[in-house]
Amino acid sequence: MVATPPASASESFDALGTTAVVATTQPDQLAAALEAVRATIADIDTACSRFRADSELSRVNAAAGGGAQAVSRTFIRATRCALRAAALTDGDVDPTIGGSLQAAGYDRDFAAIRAGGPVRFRRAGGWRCVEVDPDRATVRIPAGVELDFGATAKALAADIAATAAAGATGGGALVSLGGDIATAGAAPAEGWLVRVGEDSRGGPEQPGQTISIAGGGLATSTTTLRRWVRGERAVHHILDPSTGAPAAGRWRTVSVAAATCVDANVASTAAIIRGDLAAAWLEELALPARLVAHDGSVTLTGGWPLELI
Amino acid sequence: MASDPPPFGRTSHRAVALRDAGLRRISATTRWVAAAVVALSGALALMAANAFHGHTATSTSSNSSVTQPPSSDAIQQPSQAPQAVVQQPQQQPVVVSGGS
Repeated sequence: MVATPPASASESFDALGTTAVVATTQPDQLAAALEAVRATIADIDTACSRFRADSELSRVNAAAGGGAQAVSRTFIRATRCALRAAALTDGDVDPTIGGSLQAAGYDRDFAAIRAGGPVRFRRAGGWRCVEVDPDRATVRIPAGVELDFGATAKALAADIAATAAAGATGGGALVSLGGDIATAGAAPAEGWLVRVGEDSRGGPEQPGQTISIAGGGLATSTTTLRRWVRGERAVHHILDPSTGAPAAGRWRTVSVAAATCVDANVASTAAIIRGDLAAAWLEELALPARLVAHDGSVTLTGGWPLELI
Repeated sequence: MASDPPPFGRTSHRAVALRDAGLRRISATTRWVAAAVVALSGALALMAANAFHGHTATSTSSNSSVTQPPSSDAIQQPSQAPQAVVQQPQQQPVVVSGGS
């Protein structure tokens, strides 16, 4: 009896403070896909990590109020990606949220955060103050402003990595970085299977819905993870840039499918912050989305499939 | 005994008339030269514009270099909406999308 070869192969590893999953439609090319993805992740981490003292982001933040800083093309790309997200969401996803995260207590790698005293929330610096010169490859921010690319850099890495993996293998590739999913190349015949839940570290058995995607990106933002305590208050990592306080709207988890992982993640994050206005906004953009309210009720937009019972 | 007024008055009026006529000719010549220079400059500018194609600058100085996305940019929907899974293929991994 001849065993049927697997239609795809996957492997996971720790990266960017979370778990990376790489899948390819060319099982014998999995090693090449992994190599391409690891290289992309290393590049993004060196440029954009807020918790690495030697990252370009840390250097730019340390130079706030000073002269323009020479940065890599990767950093320019990440900065422009973050500013585009801000423009498309009217500032609901703002890369100058770094100071707000610091003030809220997210001032170190999440695993090292401990409970602390009360905090005074601080609004974001305002994305329009970021000066980018792509020709000279420089970035400058005013004094008191701190960048954080948490809402876009991981998704950008997934998009770049998926394209690189597809190119390296000559087949279809899927890359998930902490649940932010990007695909490139031809998908398996039945599509890429995704369990849409609330915790990317959980297995496919967790509550949620299993769907298939033929391409593009898929991202989930949730207020149920990355939570900590300051004073008497539970705090989470999705802050409203206009106040610096944790988003307290109607939705606890939002999953969005879009043309890219970046677009999906921008929309899902903005939806958490927009609260009651989110469903209409997503519908207007014709984005397939699954929004879970704090009471567990689910709202679908943009042609997201109904859950089969 | 009265005498004719000196010829100074007539001579002076004639000289003034001659001076004014000369000034008018100079003024007219200056206007024609200025018009010719403007026309020639425009013609040269058109020739230069057609001969050397320029490029669009993305930024010029630190104060004007804040990059903005094109106004037509928007969050893009996927080419195909997600599909419900009726029966899960056994040989394909299931990836989880959730928070991290």
